[in-house]
Amino acid sequence: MTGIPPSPVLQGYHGTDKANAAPISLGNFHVGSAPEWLGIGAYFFVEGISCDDPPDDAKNWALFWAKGRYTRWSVMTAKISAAKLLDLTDRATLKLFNKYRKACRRRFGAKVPAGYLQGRSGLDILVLETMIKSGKIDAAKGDFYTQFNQETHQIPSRLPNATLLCVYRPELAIDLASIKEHSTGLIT
Amino acid sequence: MINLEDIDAELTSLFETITAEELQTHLDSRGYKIEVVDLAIEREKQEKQAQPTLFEANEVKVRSGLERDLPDVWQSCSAQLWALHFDDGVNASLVTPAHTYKEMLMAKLYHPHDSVSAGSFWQMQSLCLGLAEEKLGEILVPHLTSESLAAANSSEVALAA
Repeated sequence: MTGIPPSPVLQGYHGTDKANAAPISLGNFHVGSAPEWLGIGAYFFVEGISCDDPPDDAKNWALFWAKGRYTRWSVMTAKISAAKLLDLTDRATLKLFNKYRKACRRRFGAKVPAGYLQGRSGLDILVLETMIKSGKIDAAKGDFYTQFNQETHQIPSRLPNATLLCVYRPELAIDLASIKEHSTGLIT
Repeated sequence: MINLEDIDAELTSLFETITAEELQTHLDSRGYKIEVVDLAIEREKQEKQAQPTLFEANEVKVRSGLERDLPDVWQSCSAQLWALHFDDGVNASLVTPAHTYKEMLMAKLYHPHDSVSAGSFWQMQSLCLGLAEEKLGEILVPHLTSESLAAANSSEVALAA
C-alpha cells in the first residue's frame, strides 16, 4: 500500500484568459496540444506543497503567461473525480514510476520518439502515455518547479514549488455543473 | 486513486513488451507531434547542420526577454544615456553609465549561469536597440562608430569575466 488515503474528488484551479471562461463553463476544459510536465491534458493547481493557495498559483500563472495576449484573467475551478489517479507526490508511487522510466529507456534504447529528445519531460511522458494506453490511469498529480510569475521565471531552481494535476480526459472526470469562475480581474 | 503496487507485475510486463510502433500510434492518437527516429541518424543529421552562433541561438531568447522586460529596462535607462553612449563612446566619462546599462540589460536577459562572450553581447545589444526602436518607435539609435566600438571593447573584458 502507498499509505495515501483515496482522494476521489480534488478541487482544481486553472488560470486562463477571461475569454475562455464561458466556453469552459459550457463545454468543459480542453486539453492543449503541447505536452507539458505530465503530457497532453488539462492542468490544474491543487492543494499540495505550494506556500500559496492553489487559486493564487492559478492567478499568478494566468497573469504571467498573458504576455500581451489577453487583458483579463480568470481562475476557473472544478471538482475533479479521477478514479485512476496516479499520485506522483507519493514516494512509493514515485519509486515505482522510476522503475518504469528505467525500463522504458531500456526498452526503446536508440529508437525512441523524437519528442524524447526535446524538453525535460519527454521520457516521463512516454511512461505516462504507456500507462494511459493500457487504461491504467486517467489523471496524474505531481510536484513541479513551476514558473508562474516573474520571480520564479528568473530564479534557476529545480526543487518543486507547486502541485499540479493533469486530467487526460476532462469530459470523463469533470462534471460540468461543478465548473465555476473562482475569480477574475484586469491585467494591469 | 490507483495503487501501482497492485498492478506492478502487469505494468512491468507492459514496459518490457510495448513496441515503439505501438507507442507511436497511441501518441499520434493523443495529438503528439512525434516521430519515431533512429538516434544515430538523428545525430548525424544534426552534426551536418551548421552550429548556430551564440547570437543566433539566443536571438529568440532576447526577443522574448524584450517582450517581457523592455518597458522596465526603458524606464531605467534614460534616452539621454542611450544617445550619449552611442554618440560619444570614446568619452571616458561614459564608461560607467555604459557599464550600468550593460549590466542592467544582462541582468534582465540572462540567467546568472549563462555564458556570453563580449563580442556576442555587443551583437545582442545592437539587436536590442533595433528591436527597441522598432517596438517603441521613439528611440534614436545612431550607428556605432569604430571609436565607440573600440572603447566598448576595451571596457567589456571585466564584464565578460
